[in-house]
Amino acid sequence: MRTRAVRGILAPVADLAGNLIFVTVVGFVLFRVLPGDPVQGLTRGRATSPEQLAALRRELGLDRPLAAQFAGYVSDVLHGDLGVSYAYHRPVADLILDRLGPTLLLVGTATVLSVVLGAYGGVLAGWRPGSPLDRSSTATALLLWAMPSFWVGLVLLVALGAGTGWFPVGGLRSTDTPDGMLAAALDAGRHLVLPCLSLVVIQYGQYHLLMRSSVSAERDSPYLRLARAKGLREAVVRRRHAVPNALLPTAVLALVNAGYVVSGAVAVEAVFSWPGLGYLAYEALQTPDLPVLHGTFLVFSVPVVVATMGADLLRGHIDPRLTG
Amino acid sequence: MALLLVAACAPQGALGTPDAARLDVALLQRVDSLNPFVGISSPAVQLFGLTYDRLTDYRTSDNRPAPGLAESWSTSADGRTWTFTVRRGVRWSDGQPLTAHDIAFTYTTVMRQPTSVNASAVRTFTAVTAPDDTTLRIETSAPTPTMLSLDIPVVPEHVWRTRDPMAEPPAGTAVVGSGPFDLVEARPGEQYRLAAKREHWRGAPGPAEIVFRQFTNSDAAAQALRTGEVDVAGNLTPAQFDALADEPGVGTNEARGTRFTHLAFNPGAARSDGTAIGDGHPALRDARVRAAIEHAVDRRVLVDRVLLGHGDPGGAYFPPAYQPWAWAPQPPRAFDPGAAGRLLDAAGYRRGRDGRRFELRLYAPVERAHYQQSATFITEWLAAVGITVTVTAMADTQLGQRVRAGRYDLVISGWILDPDPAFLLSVQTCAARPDAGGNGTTDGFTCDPSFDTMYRQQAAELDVGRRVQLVHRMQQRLQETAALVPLYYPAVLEAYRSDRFRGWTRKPAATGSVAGPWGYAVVTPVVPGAEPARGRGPAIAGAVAVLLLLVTAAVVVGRRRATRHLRE
Repeated sequence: MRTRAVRGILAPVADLAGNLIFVTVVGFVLFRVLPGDPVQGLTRGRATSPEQLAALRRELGLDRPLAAQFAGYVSDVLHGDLGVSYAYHRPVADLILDRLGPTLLLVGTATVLSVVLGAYGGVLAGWRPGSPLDRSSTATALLLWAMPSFWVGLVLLVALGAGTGWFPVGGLRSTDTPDGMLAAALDAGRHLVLPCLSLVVIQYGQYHLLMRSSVSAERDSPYLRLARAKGLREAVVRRRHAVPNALLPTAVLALVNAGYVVSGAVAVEAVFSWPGLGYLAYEALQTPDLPVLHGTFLVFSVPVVVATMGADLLRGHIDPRLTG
Repeated sequence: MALLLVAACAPQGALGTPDAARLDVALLQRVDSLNPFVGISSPAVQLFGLTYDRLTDYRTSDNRPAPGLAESWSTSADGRTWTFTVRRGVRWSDGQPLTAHDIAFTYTTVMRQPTSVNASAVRTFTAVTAPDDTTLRIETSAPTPTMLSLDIPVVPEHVWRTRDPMAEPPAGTAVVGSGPFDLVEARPGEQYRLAAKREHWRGAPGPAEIVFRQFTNSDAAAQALRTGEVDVAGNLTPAQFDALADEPGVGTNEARGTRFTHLAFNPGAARSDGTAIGDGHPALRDARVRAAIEHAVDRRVLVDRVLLGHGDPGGAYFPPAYQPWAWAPQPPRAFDPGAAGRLLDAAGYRRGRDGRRFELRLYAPVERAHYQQSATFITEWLAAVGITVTVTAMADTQLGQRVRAGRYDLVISGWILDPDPAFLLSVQTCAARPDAGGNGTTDGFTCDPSFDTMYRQQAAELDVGRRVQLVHRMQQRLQETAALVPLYYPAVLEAYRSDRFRGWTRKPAATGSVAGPWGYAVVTPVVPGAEPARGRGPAIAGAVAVLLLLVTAAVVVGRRRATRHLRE
């Protein structure tokens, strides 16, 4: 009994540790295997001599053997030091912290809205499969889900941003940020509308489709027949009995996706000039700015690892059938 | 959702009404550093241009050297010692006087830091001293014709003496400079705000404030210019530029002579010590084959179809508007597939039974669409003269590595010109080839002893006229040896709000760019103090959001009413 409990705690922890070690190693190897010479990337188009390039290579430690570079990287990561960006000359941790807030705001808001909209639409559609509501809403969700986010973003930018002038075409806040908490929040909210809409329009589809299929699978279950036999109205049967049982896959998907919130939405951030993490990583790839790439890779993957494990553990609580 | 709707309802006043005397500039690249010893990206250089002064400047009319912090200068008889007279009465933004000691400190710091951004500019310097507050003496190991185009921002010694010159200034510390503007706000990734110094020695700047706003794609910047969110945007694509050309209240400018695109060969890649590397096609070692490829390319078509007319067809290494350094080949190697065929025959590469002579690999960077489009045209033209080309698109960094390893036949490459041609000439010398560690600046492994001789001569030639002659002859040599195919000189496409600011100045006056520190500092508001036509959006957005809320409320209430009798 005792050993089982210990194993119940230790196994996930060991799993997590294994995954984290794997992520750290892959993060290092991945960006070294990619072609591209940071020294050349940093000096591109600028008057330099071969001697200066060699000096810069030495300064960045890129002339050391790969094993020595890896040892240095691992020891730095273990000490909580993500290094200094080649291109920005600032600690990677500072750069990431600067961008984390905007990304969490954008992708977090979009994920919550997508889950709520998608799940609600999915319940309505799945409850009456084949109805006009189901066919139209499911077709719309499929269509939107298939659209490239960069394109949707640009269309919204041109139509609602520049076309009507209702919303700013980019950025997180106005040039003159208004005084006062509320006014500043409203200002950020107005900037959030278009990028958030671009994400929701695309993302809600997966929740819609998943929820629809689980609800339609539950629809004819015997326990629902019993509920109806008790004289409960359809809406109550749906809300009280069907939805809680059908919610599991969607909840797991939402939890797993929560891990991806940090990695943001590179394409949407790029379209709307959103000062987020995704764009930081994308930019770093062009140099390549190795410390930033390593740092963002860790920040992107660790939450996914943790969220996936969290989803695994929480599944049991959401659905007691699984812990039998 | 509520937040979004409420946000959209924000009253107009809360969104800030921009000052009419504030110039909003769209940035498309990041400010990589606020440290002038380190920052290299074009926005960083623009910020330094507005917040610091330099020893000498460029005349707006023709880019020739003009007084900056130095009012006058002279050289010793052997050309190795320069003496500058430094302007009196210049003050740093913290009120301290700027003296020759600050300039000596700045240059000495650059000399001590081999990886600082301007290190190559002071390569020949042996000592920089300030005998008194208004005299600066620079001693060099060789005559240095680039002395008047140093472009090094001068920093205050009393601030930087105790700092690590290669480290980022601590966040929140004020930037102390002597330029016409003070940096008053820095929000990396978002915006940089500069406030004008009314008492600057050049006179009061035009705008009261300049705000650099960060954009991550040029489509958004172009749209922001349309809506009036920004007043100037540079580096537009031909399609964006053409779309803005008819917009009321928007002025456009095509700057020429600042960049070039060429097709580089692998003429037998070798390291700087002469060791052969790579796998280039041997045919390209023959100048006749390279000349044939130049004859096979129709550069006019590239300008018309790829650049949509916004540029000039290539002829020599440097563009015709790059005065006084430009040289025009007489006659240029014109589009002539017949001549190309004859040259290839003469070189011994006759057509095979299938009409083909040999195969080449062409690499093009993915970063700019015009490289890709040009590659498609070139492939067709070379196929017509019997050369089969396979095109591979590659990221710039990846391609750079491949080129320096010599693993290519043809590559499309491009450069942005400095006012002084020295660096871009050095790229074509033997010494630019990579060493064993991959450190090199070459983009085509050109190595020609007679070119190198002239390069050394111009590098020590203080007489501008004679140096221009040498630079012309160097370009002639590149053309004679068919070292590369100059494809075209793309215009830099810029647009600005002519209804908000007037006095946009090109530099140089005939063909230059308006989007730069020289232009931003002098434009004046069209209607001082007037409210621009911005910010009408929020009111409409508010109205729409209120409407949405009302409709939602109505629907909810309606539903609740409709189902009331059913509720438990």
